[in-house]
Amino acid sequence: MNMIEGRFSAKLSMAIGTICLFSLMFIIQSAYLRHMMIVLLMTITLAVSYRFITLSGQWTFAHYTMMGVGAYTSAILSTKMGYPVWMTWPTGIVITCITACLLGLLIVRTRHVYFFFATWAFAYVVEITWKKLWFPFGGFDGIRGIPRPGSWFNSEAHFYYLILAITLASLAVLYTLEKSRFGRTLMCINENEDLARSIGFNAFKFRMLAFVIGSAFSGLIGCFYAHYAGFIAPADFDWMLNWFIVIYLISGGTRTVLGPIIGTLIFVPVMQILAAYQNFISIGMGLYTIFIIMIASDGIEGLISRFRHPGEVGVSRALR
Amino acid sequence: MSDISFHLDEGEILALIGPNGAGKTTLFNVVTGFLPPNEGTISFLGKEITGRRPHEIARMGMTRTFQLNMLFLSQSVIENILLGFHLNTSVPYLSLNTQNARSSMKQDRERANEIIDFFGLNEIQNFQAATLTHGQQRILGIAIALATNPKVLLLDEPATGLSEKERIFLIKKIRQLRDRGISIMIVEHNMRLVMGISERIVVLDFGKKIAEGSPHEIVKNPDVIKAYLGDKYGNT
Repeated sequence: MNMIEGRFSAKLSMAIGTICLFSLMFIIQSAYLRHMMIVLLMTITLAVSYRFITLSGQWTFAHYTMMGVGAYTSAILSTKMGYPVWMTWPTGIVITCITACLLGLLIVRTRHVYFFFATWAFAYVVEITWKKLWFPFGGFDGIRGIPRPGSWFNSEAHFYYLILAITLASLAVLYTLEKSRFGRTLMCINENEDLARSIGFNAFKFRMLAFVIGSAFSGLIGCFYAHYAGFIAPADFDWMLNWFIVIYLISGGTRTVLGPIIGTLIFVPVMQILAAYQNFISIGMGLYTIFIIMIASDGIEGLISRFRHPGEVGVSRALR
Repeated sequence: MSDISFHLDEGEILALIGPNGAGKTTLFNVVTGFLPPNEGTISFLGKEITGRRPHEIARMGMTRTFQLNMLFLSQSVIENILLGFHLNTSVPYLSLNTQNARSSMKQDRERANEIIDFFGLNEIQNFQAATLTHGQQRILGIAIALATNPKVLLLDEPATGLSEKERIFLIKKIRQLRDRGISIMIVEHNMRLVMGISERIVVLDFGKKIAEGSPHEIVKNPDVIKAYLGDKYGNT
């Protein structure tokens, strides 16, 4: 009985939360704040899909690059060939998946810091390719005049509704995947790969799937970004940006899906507020990361659960 | 390793002994696909499995345990065993809360309970694996391997660090597994355990096979006494 009530109230609060999120646009009128909300939602999806890849123990450094692959594919198809959005977006996601597959075939067998470096090298190569090739990527200047997803997309609010729907759907899909046997498989491969292999897990396949699925969501966000901004350049997908996702995850925590969301919700606004003091952001970020690792190795999420259940000691998955 | 050739019959307990560094664990790694052999062949149930990957070999029905305690330490005992069902579970990868998924999950739990009963892990079944004692972890390692429903079980030093009582329990359980029709290959340093349960013994030294035969033949073999057993066993 209790459980049914609990489930009901959880569903109810989720429904109310969704309605609130959708009605936010009636409260927020400023274009800047609306833009901020959109960036926030995009970053949340990126961070959550990044965490999904880390479930199998792979900390990629090419997440923004995968976003860029999706964005460039969709942008090139819609500006140079004039295809409509409902064709360019799926193509963008598929191309991202194929890129992740090809990259994965080469590097999924590497572990830990080697994986990190291999993806970083890939990110660097792709970025240089975008910068140097005028055709079809437009070089440093990128691609301009990317059309909006539809003629009736004429305000920030429409984009907000679209990205909110994408975010909620992505969260639902990634959460379901994590909670089902697939997610448990990833976690146990991360925990003890030799044992997992000895009892019949094809570790390579599962690592690969995690990488491709996580990258696919990144590609989706890339497609959205291209058509939202109307202009993309290699700088938008700079490999340095991956540091920020890593910091969101470490500071928010990686134990549950809430961690990256908390990290993003704290960091993105703070960085916007401090945007005027660019030089100090890096210093602040560094100090903050050191602070988090020392005080709350499980992230803010771990800190919260430590207050709720005192006596429990947790070690961040990031640090293992 | 070179010049090693032996076979394992169905329903047999074969022991592999030899001094430290003789290549026993390496042999296990080669047989189960963790290390590729440079030359030579391994066949299993009439099929050649040389160079296959570990998960493929596990799928064919050969599962190993490890010399060190290898467990999913953050999971509970029952979850460890449930993960071992990977090869023969009907729970879908995307377990949405459907009738089908729930009934197969219930089925898995019942099968896990059988294994837990068999190894007497009932009282600790909801404990986190990391909190178990060494002996319980050793037993759980075998339980996970058993969950894959193997035809051949390769036990790498199952009795290291066990107390006398636990060792007797382990011997009993290994015999019961054999009676269920599982062939067992066992690497062990504890000669009392080896002499007690094995039907045939293969002795390795410096990566070479130096003897093979029944326990009685082995204890009388001069090469084995020189390389491994020492005079104590030779005289008895």
